[in-house]
Amino acid sequence: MQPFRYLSTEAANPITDFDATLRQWRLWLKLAWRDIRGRYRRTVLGPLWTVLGNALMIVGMGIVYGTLWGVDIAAYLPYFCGGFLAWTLVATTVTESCQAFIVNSELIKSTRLPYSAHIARILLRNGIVFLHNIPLHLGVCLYCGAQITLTGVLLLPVGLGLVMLNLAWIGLVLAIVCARYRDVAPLIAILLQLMFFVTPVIWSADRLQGSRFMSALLVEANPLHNMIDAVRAPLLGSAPTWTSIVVLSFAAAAGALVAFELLRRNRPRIAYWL
Amino acid sequence: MVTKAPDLHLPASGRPSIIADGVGVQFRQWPVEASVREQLARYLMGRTGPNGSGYAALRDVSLRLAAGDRVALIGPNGAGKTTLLRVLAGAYTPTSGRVLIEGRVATMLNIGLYIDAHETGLENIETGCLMLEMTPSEIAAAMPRIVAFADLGDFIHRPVRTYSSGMMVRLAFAIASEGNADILLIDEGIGLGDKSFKAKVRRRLQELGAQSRLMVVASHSADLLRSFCNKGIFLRQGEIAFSGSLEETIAAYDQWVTEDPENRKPLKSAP
Repeated sequence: MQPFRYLSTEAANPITDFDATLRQWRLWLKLAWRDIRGRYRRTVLGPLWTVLGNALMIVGMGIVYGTLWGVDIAAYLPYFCGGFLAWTLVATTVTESCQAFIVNSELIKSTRLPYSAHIARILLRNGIVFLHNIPLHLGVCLYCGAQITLTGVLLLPVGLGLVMLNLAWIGLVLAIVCARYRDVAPLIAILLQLMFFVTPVIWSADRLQGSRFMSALLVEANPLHNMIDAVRAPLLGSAPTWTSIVVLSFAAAAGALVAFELLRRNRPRIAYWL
Repeated sequence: MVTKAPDLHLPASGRPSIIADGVGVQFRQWPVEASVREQLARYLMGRTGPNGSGYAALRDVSLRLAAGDRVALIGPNGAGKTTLLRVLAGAYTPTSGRVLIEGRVATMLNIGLYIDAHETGLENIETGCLMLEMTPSEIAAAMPRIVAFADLGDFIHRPVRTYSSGMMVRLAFAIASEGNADILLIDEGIGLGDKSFKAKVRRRLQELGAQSRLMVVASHSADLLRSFCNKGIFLRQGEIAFSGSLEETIAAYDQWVTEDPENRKPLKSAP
């Protein structure tokens, strides 16, 4: 492809779009950084606020729910911490993806920047925030005497990678759909709120052992559970379940096709929807 | 400027050029006030409901612009000037026809380039350059030029939200004109800024034309356009009503205005 050459009929091709995003990585990295810095501009603590906020949430909720379930706090706290950080990564990325094109409408309507790059920017900044919270998790683990194992260290990038791949296609699909149908974003926000309680984040999946049906519905067949598990298990020093890995791998492959096709069909129209 | 259908498979010349071939943009139109029930019905029926016929913002626009062209885009409000600029920027994909653009495009539509009000002028210059796909070494080379042209003094180190709107335009124009853009698309915006900056803008645009860059400027000010454009396109109801040299185009526009002076506004000239 010629550098700096644009042919309108070629631009609809998702490959052209993805390629441009890869080529312009510097821009997205910069914007992702700027987003994070911007959130805490003119505050004294800066990005420490994220860690502080999470720490408060985890300790507070950890103690309350640990007592409510009647489980050992030292065992519960790391579980909740890992799950909560994974949940925040997934939920925030999904929520922000719904607005990806809408908030950048000026940019989209006056430049030929690739669309997938807006998703890359969201993934990148949430990925950075997640990594930034890892020390908090390590702190909780140390305090509670939880093991940090080699398995965990080796499998975290694998789990995180699988989750990111899935968030990439989900984000692209949602960004497109939400630009066209503005009712979808509020719906997603409500569903996510519900899913936080329905997915094993504050409670553990093995508490459902009594009910085969509920367990299948809320755990095995729950894609959010699979994403949480893929990140939380390594954070707790163990391997994610095979179910999670298989489900996430297939979902990533199938989802990539869906996102590709959706972008191919709608790319020429998105700017007109904004 | 030739308006016959051009061949889009020319080898890359390496020089900025824009070729549009039968470009049409059809907007779909929805009634502004529609009840939830009506909207739901439309969602279910698919894209084109009874009111979804839409209107053509651009119709069969063909043009061929080459390096060194400084094109004035004139026409009444709603003629499709901004839509055409968005198509030439590669932002709007035409609903019919094709566009081939060679070169890096900087656009200054309504607000100017992409400026983040919370970041400093310097930060915004860097981001603006990255958006023009400039490499780090190109950015390093362009930085002093951009800063000098914007001429904002110490404000360059301050967040853009402390700028006046004129200063913001200076920053945006400095990035667009001193960065490595091959093609500049400008919509009105440069009318802002004070007198001395306006003079600077004129000089700079003349220079850019001499350097074989390509410019399209939409404006209602005949004086502004005369000071640096050499060609003109008169757009009316989404169609090219006339294209040719700047003076011919202005004459064609004036002719059209005199046909119905009640409702048509002439181009602005100095008092």
